Amino acid sequence: MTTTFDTFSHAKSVLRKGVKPNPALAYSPYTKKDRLIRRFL
Amino acid sequence: MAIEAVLLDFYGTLARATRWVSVDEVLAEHGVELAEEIRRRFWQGELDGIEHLEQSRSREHYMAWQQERLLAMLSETDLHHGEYELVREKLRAGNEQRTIEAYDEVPEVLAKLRGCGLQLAICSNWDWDLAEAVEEAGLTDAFDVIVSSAWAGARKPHPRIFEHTLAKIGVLPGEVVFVGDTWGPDVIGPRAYGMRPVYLRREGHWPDDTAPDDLTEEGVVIGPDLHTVFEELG
Repeated sequence: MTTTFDTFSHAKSVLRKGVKPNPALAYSPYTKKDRLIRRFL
Repeated sequence: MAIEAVLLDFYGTLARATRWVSVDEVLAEHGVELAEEIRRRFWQGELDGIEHLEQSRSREHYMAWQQERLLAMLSETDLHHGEYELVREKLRAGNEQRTIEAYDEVPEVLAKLRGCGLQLAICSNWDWDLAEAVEEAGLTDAFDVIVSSAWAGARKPHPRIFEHTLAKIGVLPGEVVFVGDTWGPDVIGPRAYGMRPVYLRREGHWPDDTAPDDLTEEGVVIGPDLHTVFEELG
């Protein structure tokens, strides 16, 4: 199975309403490169 | 006592994800619904208020703990263990698409607060990469101090994270207004610590199951967006 963002977007239709989205509990989207660059901004 | 600083929660108060993949969505693709009790225990309410010093020794320790909790949560669902790796990969890949944006009024209000001579700090229940998330939202320059629970070793409403944040900006609790969107961590905790809470209820916001049914008896300033902070500041 090919996993794409569209796959997930489509799945939003089955998402239960009223649940707090908490996007900081499993994975961080930032790569090591992002982190190093941002530390020096 | 004059107000010298404003502490603000990050997610749901200053910014929100406009694109993300939730664990609910991924599990739904596998025909699994996350039970409310499991969600609360591993993912939401019961996580708040805890101290986790061991896990906050480094980014690696913290991220390892996140993965342990995710696996522990999956083990209590009906998901077959043979699907765990695929679910984790979908969550990881989905998170790369995450987009965080500030609410519209936030930059203007923060600039006004700064113009009043107030110190500004973020105090957030978040992961190790809060600085990157704040940067993505375009808010880094608006703040004197940023504190994540991941670095402080405790999640709001635990007093350790408030103590840690106030020590960094050098003010007393009575000199602080705290703004947030979740009643337990952002109103009860700060009030018990001696700060003055402001509670935001944004239009279209997800329900806050930590809030009492009747907010009017609480004597807390409540409003629909960050402009509400000026009601508490006078």
